[in-house]
Amino acid sequence: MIRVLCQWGVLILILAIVPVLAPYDPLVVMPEQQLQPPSLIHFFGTDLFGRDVFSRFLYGGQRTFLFALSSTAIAISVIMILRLSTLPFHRFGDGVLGWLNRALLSFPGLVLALGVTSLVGRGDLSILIATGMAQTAPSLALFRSAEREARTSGHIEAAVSLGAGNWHLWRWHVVPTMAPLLLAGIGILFARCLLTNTALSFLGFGGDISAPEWGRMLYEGRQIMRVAPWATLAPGIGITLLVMAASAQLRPE
Amino acid sequence: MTILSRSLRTFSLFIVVLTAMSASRSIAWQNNDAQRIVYGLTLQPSGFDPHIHASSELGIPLRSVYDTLVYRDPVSQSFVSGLATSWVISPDGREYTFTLRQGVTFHDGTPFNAQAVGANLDRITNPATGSQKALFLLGPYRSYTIVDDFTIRLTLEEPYSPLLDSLSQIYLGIASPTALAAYSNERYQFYQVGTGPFMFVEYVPGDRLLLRRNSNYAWAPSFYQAPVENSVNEIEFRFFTDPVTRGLALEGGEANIMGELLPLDARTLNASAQVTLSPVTVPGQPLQFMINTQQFPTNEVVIRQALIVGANREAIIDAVYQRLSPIAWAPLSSTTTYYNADLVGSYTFNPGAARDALTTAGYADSNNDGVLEIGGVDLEIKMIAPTWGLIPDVAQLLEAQWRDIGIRLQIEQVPSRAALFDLVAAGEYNLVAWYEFGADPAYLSRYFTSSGDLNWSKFNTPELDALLLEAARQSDDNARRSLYYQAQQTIMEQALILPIRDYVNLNGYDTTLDQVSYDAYGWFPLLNNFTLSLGG
Amino acid sequence: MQKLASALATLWLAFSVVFIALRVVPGDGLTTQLIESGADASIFATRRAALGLDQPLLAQYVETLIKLLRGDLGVSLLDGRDVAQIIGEQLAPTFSLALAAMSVAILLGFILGISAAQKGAGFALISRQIITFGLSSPIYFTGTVAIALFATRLGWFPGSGAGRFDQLILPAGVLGFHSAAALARVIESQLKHVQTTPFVRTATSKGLRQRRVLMVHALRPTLAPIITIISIEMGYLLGGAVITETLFARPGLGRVLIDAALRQDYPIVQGIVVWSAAVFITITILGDVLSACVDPRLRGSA
Repeated sequence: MIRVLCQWGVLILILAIVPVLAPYDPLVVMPEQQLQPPSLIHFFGTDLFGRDVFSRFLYGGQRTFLFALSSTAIAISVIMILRLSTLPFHRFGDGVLGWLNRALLSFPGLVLALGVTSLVGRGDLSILIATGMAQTAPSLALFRSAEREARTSGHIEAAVSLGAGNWHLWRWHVVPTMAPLLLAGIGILFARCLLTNTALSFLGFGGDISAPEWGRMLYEGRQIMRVAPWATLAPGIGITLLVMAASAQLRPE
Repeated sequence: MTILSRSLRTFSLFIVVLTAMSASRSIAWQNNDAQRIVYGLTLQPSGFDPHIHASSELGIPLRSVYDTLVYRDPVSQSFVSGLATSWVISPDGREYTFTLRQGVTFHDGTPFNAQAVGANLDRITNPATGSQKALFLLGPYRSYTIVDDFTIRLTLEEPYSPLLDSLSQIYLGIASPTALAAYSNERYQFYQVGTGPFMFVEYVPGDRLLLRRNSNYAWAPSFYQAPVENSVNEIEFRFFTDPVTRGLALEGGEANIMGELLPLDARTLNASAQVTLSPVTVPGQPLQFMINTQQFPTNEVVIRQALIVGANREAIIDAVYQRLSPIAWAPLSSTTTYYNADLVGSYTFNPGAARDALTTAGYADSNNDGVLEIGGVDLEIKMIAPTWGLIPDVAQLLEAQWRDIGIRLQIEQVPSRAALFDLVAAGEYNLVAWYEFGADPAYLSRYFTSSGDLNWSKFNTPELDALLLEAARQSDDNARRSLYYQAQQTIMEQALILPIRDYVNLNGYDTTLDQVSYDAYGWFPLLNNFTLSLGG
Repeated sequence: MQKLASALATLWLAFSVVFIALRVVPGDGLTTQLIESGADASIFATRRAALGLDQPLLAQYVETLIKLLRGDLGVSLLDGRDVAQIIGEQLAPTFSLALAAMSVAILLGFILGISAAQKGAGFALISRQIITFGLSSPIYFTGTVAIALFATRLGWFPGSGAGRFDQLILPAGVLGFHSAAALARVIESQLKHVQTTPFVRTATSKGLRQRRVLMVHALRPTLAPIITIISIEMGYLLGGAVITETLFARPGLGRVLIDAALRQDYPIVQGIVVWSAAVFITITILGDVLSACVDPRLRGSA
């Protein structure tokens, strides 16, 4: 668990010093230098507007990461609200939650996210909310099964026999037991939010169109794929690596 | 033999078979008994009814399904007979009497006559139809009179010289009155019946539209060629709304001809022997942004002019359009009638001059955030940018260029015509990209007069009104030219628009096709004249 | 039986959620279209009444639900086309893509999963890396690269369109690759888990080669969760693979959904979402039944 936190710490540190690492302003256009292949001047080449892909990759990584984090936070908040509100109702509450969850799970994730964006409209905030809502159901399922497993452990029974109340049991015994699974679950949730966010950006639902973001870069990179594949390869590989890192906990040892 | 290696062998066999089958596809395609081609459409308009909807995309197939009373010759630009063999205009310019062609039948067998023309006019002018373009093309039209079975008279409120031009456009195509009566306004687009060289077979929105040659077509305008052995007889239209897929589709044999290719793709495909590029400069308004004169800060002409002078349109043409379009300098593109060529070179790129002008006007960056202010308010511009025509790319370059002169641009993307109209109605924009096509510039009245329904720059002066309205009334060519020249001058002096590029449609077609040509309005292919390459 | 009731209840809930969400938001495609064409108030009222949009929300809900039970999904706000027909038109390309992708996924998934479950380096290690890559890389990336490589640069397969067999190869390949990775991961972990059980250890100690042990002995009891995940993936695919359809310019439910969502044509959005949910639930139930057949341990309550 310490190792996981260290990994995340390093990642966050890297993202924080991005402005120092990036050689160019990611927004500055130099149309005369459009579509240049990778070189010593431009490590990842340039895009259609002559912007440095390496700098956009770094800043875009920062933005994409923060967006995924926000969606994760939204999803977790919704899950918390749902779980806490059904907690007082014991088994019945859990049953209702399961039923609701199954209903939401039957919508393909992207379909649900698209549905939300059609209601809220285009824009960055809309993507964040849509993803957060769309990923709530799959992660809720994960957390519920983790909780069910945690509740079967011996020391929970012991706590109950000692007279622990519902809330006290949940907060001080069940949750700590779930902790490692919780952490893995959050990692997976983050990975899914990342993928859904960038997918919506890729489909063109984003707001600020010139701000670097990996999904948006893939959207623009497609147009110039024939002559400038580096503009697509950089953000694509970036997303893949970030997802790999986030879901690393689940790899069977 | 383990199951694993057995599966691997099956898998590899699978791959081999697939490759073999894909190699056979090119042979299968050439087996073209029906003499059919696939034409790529690039926009999914909200509807395909020419009387109702305004998109030029619908005209690409439908131009060949309907005939119009008159036609505009693509070479001479003059009007030739269509469904009307001759016409007489009254001296006061308010009555047009058309002698109609006899012996014409609609695709469903209904005979063509004056009553049929009347039924079409009734439909277009009926408010319940909700016509978005056809009605406006008719201008001050008031009513019709059926003189006899083959003579019809149109009466106008006031003289309107663009009437013949309007009557030669697809939006005033003549449809079968039987079919019009049989279907509701929303449903007719799926059952269209005209008199043209091609019959409408079916339309599945988002998927395809099918046309088949009308073998009974015997009333073609002068520039339509007679069908020959290798004429195209069947055309399937498919939709390629994602620009990236267009080049791929041409390459892969998915479509034989397609318009609106991405400039980069057009460039690379042109270099190969597979695809022939056929660029067409479309007459009409250029790709432009209308500037709102009633919203801060573009209510000041200084700001508007600074926006144009601070925009490096050369760089936009280079980067976004790969030099395949020329810069636009006027409210009309260079191939439009009455284009004022004197306006070329007005507002050339000069960021220094833009900055000076802004400073003189009292704008300064007191808090050093890169954005100029006046009276404590930031110089921020809001733009409504549709997602088609590479406008978002143009917007991104403009954003960077204007940042250089201290103006901040906020871009609001709209994915559809409906969303765009919504935002415009809300009124809080400085720039909006909107433009219309057509050979006769009469539509300028919609955009720049106080009574115009598309006056989104909200500029109203009696002088400009007078110029444009009189130009529409005048029948004398020279008088019209002089009036439109002055109007264009005024529009540019007041910086009511930011013109970007003359609209060049980058068409590409593969080796299946031999003869490909377009009509006088630029967008619409002369499908009747398309022929297949021999040996294909 | 209980499962069926539960499934229907879930479907009803899904429908209600969609209905409420779509009605709650102001504005719809019809209104926008009519405003755009400058229609006046009376025409507005007539069109809305014809579509039943002027009735109170609860009445609309009940009416829509009843029509749904009869199989009537309503009509498009903009051009009056029957929603059920619209969905029907998209079934052929959607199904053919789903089936092709699933075939690739099952074939590739088993190969990768079985080989990844073995110990050591070589093919097993490569398989594990491929699986991780397939799970982590976004499909719009792999799809774009696949088109650029196999269609544009090498010219082996067409990069767009539908209707011909060879146009299925790239999209089914890319889609199938990602599903295969999910499948392979489950197979791998199931096999690893089962390898530690006594009966498998017995088989291994008898001297059978690793691969044969896995395939013949270990696989059968692990089939249940594998069938489950196959049915989940299939359920998703049949609902329309939005990104794949966009990348490869294929017609399909995903594209129709995006278009309808952009134009606020609510009956279509509703119809497709409910359809996707229904298909998904059906396939997962079938999967559960199949699992129970294969693994007697699961046959308890049905």
